[in-house]
Amino acid sequence: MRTRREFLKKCCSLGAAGATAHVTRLGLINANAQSASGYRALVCVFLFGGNDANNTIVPLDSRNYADYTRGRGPIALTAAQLLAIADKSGARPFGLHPQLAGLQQLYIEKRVAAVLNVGTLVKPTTKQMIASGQAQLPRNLYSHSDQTQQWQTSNPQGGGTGWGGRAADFMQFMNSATGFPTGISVNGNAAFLNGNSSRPLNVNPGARFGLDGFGDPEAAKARDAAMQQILTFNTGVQLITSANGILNAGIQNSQAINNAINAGTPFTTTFPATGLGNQLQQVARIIAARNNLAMNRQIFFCGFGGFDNHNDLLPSQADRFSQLGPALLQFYRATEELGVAGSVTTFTESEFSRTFNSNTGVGSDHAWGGHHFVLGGAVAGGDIYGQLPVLQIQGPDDAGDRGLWIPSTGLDQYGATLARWFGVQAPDLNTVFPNLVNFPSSDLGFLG
Amino acid sequence: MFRPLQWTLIFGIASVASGAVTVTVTPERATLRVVSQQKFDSTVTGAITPYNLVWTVNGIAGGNAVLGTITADGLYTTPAAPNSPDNRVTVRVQVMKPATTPTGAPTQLAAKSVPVSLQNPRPAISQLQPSIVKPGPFEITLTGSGFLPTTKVLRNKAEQVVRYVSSTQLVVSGTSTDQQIGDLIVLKATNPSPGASGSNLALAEVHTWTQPLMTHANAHSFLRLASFGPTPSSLDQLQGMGIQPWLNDQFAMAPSEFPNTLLRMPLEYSQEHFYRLALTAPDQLRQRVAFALHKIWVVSGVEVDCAEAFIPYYRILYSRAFDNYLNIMRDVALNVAMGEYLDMVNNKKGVGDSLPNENWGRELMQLFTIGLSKLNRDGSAVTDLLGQPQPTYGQAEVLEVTRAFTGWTYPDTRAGSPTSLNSPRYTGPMEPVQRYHDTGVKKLLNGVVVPAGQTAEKDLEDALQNLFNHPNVGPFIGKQLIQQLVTSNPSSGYIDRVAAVFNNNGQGVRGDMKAVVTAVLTDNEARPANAGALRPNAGKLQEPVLFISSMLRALKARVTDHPFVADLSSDMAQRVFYPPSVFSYFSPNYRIPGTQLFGPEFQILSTATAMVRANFVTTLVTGGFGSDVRIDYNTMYTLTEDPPKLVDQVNKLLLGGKMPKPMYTSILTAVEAAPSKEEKVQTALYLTLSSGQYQVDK
Repeated sequence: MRTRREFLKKCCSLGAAGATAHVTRLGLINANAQSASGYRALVCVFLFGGNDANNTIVPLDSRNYADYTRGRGPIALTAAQLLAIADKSGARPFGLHPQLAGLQQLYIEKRVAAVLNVGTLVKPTTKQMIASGQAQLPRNLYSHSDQTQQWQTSNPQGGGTGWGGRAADFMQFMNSATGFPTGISVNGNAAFLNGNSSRPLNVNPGARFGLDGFGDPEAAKARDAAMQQILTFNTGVQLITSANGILNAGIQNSQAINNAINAGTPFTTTFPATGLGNQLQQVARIIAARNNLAMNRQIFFCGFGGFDNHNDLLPSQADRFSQLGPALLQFYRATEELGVAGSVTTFTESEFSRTFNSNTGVGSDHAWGGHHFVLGGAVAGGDIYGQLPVLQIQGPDDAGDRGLWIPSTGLDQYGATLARWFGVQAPDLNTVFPNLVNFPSSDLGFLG
Repeated sequence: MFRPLQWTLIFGIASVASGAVTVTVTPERATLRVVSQQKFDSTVTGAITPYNLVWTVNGIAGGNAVLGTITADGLYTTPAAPNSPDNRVTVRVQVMKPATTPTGAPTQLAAKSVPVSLQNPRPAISQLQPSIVKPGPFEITLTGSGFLPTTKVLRNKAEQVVRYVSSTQLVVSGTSTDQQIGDLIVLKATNPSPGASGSNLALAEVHTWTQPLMTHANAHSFLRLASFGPTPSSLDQLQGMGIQPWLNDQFAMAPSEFPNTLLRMPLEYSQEHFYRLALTAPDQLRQRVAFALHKIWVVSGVEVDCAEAFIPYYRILYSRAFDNYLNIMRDVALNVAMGEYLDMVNNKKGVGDSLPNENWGRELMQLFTIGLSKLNRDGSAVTDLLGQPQPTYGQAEVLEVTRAFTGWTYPDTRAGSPTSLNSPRYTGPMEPVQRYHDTGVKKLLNGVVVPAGQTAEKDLEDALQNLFNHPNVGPFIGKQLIQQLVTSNPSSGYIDRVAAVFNNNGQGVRGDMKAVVTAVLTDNEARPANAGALRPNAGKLQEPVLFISSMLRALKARVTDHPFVADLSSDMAQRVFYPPSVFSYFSPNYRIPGTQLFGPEFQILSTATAMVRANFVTTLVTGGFGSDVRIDYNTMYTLTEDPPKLVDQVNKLLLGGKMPKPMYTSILTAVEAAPSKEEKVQTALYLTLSSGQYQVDK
């Protein structure tokens, strides 16, 4: 019956758009950012549904692995199944999920870093603070919709613009003056890419992108002119204006992107014929066309679902990772082929990790902090960043009694490390990540 | 046409200079429709003596009634009808020297003939009575001009029976069928040769009534909310009944079923059936509400990809659509498809560290009943002193509620409760397995404590009642029903009025769906504003299903292959029955980027899918779906003779006549530029259907 779990995606929602625009800074030429010449792109891969991080990266040192097998019970992976890696020092052994051979390969090539126990936080938070009621917690922890939104917006109260969009606000000045969007989603609308001034473009992977014409060419010109008038006159009704604006943005940008892709550098790297494979292939095509579009900075959003595995975690997550591993590996290979491996940094997000212990259905439920991957030629890879939680139910890192890990690294720190590499300067990072000031470090070091 | 002349002969006699006498006449020939006049002007040169001008028609001075008459100054008036055999006459002017003696004859100095062709009049219709006829035989009296006994009247190119009354009146008889209810009758009078010509178009409509109880515009707005889109006949019906009788009729109508034959077929066949019902079922409101409930109480084919499981779930939604909300809650809670989707089926009580699966307990509260934050009745959040919203529950309550729902399994064929977990079976609701039910005390919401030792059935009922009676349900579900059916941004007053009806239907009953649906659809805020008076935050974007269904219904499309429709809505990011997650096809809390407004359906309107929508329209109107979708464009083709009438009709069909003036002007210009009748119709439809003005219900 439960044949497939996929396409569990797009459960994000936008709350109050409360953030104020720092538009005054946008026009300023930032000397440092300009000197960071050359192309740079960020690629977000969102694992919708809440990826079980506990089985994504597993500590293999004897103490932690014993805690792991004891705590996870029927949903633990055996050491023999796991793909061995170690931190840079070689002292701390870990294992990757058996379907992540592609990431293991890139880890060995030092192109992948793992960041442990990242999650939504207002400020550094401890179990004592939660127990005493002093903790300022993100709103509606453990809720898919809220946490998806918070991972994309870096707003622990929910709502507002996305952190990718705000980063684009600050960096779009480096792009073509034609106003071609800095943010591109190949996976539907994502709060992640909505900025205060920047609006993303959505491109379906593989699909034709543009309006179909018909009829007499002269009459078609008259029709197109009429359409422009209809899409742009003010009706006084916001929903109509917005719907017309979205179609018009598609029309305006479709020709540019189609021409650019057609003229872009061809590549021979093949992609798996999966949802994510198709998405990343489309991203690679657009990156290959970056010069035709006169783009210096781009942010992409991809994602796929099926990670909400309350039941039968082991086969379900294996099925998902069998998509993730090969797609990420081939995408990295494509950036190598295009000569931009050092200019493209890919990272994972997911709304939350899952309970450490199993429920009675051999699955795991909604939890909090989880482990993530960063990948690319600029990544100080082959290493593990962040801190592993103490893998004990009701232990010092459990926010409850099921292994709901309190994040040791805030999403803001994770994102700021990426955004800084992308070119966003220190004062602006605090606009992109409003709670960054609450954390001791804004650079986790995984981007050199 | 008049030319400046050297001498215009106002009177018949004049003096001219000496020399050879000649006469010219302008115009030199004429083609005249009866009855009309033509002034002929003559110019005489060379005559030195006083002279007379004599005008004749076919040699008869001054003409006569059969040939037409002409005055002494050359004003020709045609006869009442062209004369046989060849419908020609000759107008002649003669320059005559008067007789010089009393008995002498005048002498002709010069003459000029002008051939005149006579043609039948061009008919014109100024009025038709009645302009609304009932299905069955009808008679329509046309008033106008230029009618002949030989005048024919065409209705969409088909000749009708005509009785000639006078040159200003005809009576047309014809028949309209029930299938034509709400349609236009386009009449055009034509006269035969000589000078065959046709009249302007005159429009009548087929209706079941003579005086509507509500306007077309208001009925159109209402049916965009209460059905899968207005059709000409559903508009006629509502206009004839008024809203409350229409609602009562819909409430009483038996559900259109998803038949048992679908159970053994892939779920795609149920998608197809969904569209068949959306396009053609009479119980439109029930099916629309059922679909709204599906988008709230989500089960997705992504996980439950099996009609045998899915159909019993969907049957609950349309069977209970006008029942009590508690009954919907109970039936869906015990439904096996939901049990599989949110893991309640075979969810055993916790043992040691291993706790029950909390998926169902959490989403039942977050999505189906009370939501995350405490609400006032008007949907606003209850806040603390710092303005922070108050959560309705925490992790502890998720576990408590989860425990109340443990110990349920698939149904079996044996009598009594099962004693072990059953394998998948979809023939009925889940059954309790008491030994897997957690019988401990449960602290539910709002201080309700369920005592230890209760059965699985009793705990389930207590937990459902606990949630059903939570004050959040009215505003939480009421607002979502408003968003699903009417508008994305209801005022707090609107939510409050609907929640009040949810709490009490007026007879002390909580959760009465008929009363709630009535309150949602008949609220003042659901009524269409007068043109130009729309609130800036009015409306809701049509989701792909409604975008597709409403245009196919408005155009009376005959769809013979429904699966393709399901594929097309998938391309627009709404794969029917396969929402991507329990968070449905789109979130009720999605805000339109760059605005403060909610726009749930905007979550799946991107630059990519917006163009898929426009391209769908192109394929549809250019006939790209071939024989799968047949649309009769003949009436519209006829209207292309008079482009404003074509745009009027498209406006009426698709926008209820509320197209803004600038849009009307833009479309008319483009229609006039299109070279053929086909392309004129395609242009008018394309520009309308691809626009936000069409795609936002308002």
